Amino acid sequence: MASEGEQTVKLVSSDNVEIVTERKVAERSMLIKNMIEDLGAPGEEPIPIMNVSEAVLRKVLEWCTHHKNDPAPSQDDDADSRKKTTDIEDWDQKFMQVDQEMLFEIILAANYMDIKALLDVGCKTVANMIKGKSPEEIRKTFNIQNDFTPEEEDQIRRENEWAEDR
Amino acid sequence: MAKRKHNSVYQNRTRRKKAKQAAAPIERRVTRSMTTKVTRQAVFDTTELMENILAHLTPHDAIRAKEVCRRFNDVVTSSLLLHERLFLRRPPAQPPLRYRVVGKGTKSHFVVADGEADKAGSREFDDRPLLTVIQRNPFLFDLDDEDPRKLKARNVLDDGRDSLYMKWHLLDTLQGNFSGPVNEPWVNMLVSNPPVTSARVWFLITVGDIFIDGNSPPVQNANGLTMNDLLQAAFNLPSGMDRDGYGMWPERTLGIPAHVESGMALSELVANLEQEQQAFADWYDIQVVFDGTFVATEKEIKSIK
Repeated sequence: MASEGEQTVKLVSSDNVEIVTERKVAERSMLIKNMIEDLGAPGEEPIPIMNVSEAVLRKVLEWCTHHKNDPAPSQDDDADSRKKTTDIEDWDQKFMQVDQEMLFEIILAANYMDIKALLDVGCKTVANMIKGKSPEEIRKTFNIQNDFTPEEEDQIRRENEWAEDR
Repeated sequence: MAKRKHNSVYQNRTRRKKAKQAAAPIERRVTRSMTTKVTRQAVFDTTELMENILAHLTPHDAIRAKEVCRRFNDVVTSSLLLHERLFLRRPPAQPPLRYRVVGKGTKSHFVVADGEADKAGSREFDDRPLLTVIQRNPFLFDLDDEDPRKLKARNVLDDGRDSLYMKWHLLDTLQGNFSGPVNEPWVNMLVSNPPVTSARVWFLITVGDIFIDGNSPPVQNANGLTMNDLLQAAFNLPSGMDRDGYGMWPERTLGIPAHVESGMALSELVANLEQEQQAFADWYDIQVVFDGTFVATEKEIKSIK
């Protein structure tokens, strides 16, 4: 295990930048972990991370570095993490203080690279941006077009009436 | 024609000039906001990711998010995963849930009762009509011919009170876990829809032939009662419980044994009842029944008047 921790791997971003990182850090990504296992000789052959640009990959690896010693997620984690919806660890919260472009890039990268914990932190961050907001405020936050017809909007609003006063 | 040509030449020239003046900044700005839009859209268009995001919301926020746009509405309305996490909804492909009286060790859990099935059980449990929780959920049931809101509100206010029966078998769900937290996806669901904010809950715990029943103190949640609220109320039993009776079927004997009276935790109570019951081991079942008397919100009352 100890020697594995010192091993390094070469990752190549979608814009062809090579990043060398600790194997343990990179293996927070199940995608990379499986690739390393398939390749057999880690460190020698660069691993292409096709859909992730250098800037995003560096950001994701920053998260992986901080969380490299986290215990592997267990089966129960799923139900547990759903429950504490607003809870985001302080460090993660600071980590997620990025512009929306980067936030959504991180989510896509975490999804692609199969890093469940990071994906959940990203999704929770977006959920927190929705929480307690009116539909109009949500649209504004994410620059979403209201594509309902007035009739449809009226219908949904009527269905939702009971949820309005809280 | 000539005029148009002139115009377009003019426009072209102007455009070129403007482009030259501001080429770099404009390009960068446009690209930036466009890529943000593309990235965001990629996330919102991936159902899996939308579900993950929305599953972190409260039921209230998720329902309100339907008003944002078609995409949000589609996901909230149709995502099974989301409904299982946030609302009471059974997967449509599965057979309807029926309450069954089952013996110890059976794998069933959280069964919502209906009256007929209940009567068909091995023992008559309760003659009152049972409302299913599911019927209250607009995502599953379309109360079509009448204005659904009115109908729902009327249900809530029927005779000034309404009951909600929920039964599940402690054997599977709660055994060995009487103090919470229960890691079941349905704990965050609203017990009814529209939500009720307060309920008094009636409990019936049966171990074999021994039963105990009574009312809990009011259970409240300003954002609408969730299953977890009711569970917590169950865990807090029997302390604070206003007991009606304790006895052996079908007789209700008055007087409650000292060990029950002392306000022990539910787990202890069940353990005790189990011990007593060993002498009558032919029939064994533990159930907790919630019988909530719901209090409508002021708005609901107004909508009826």
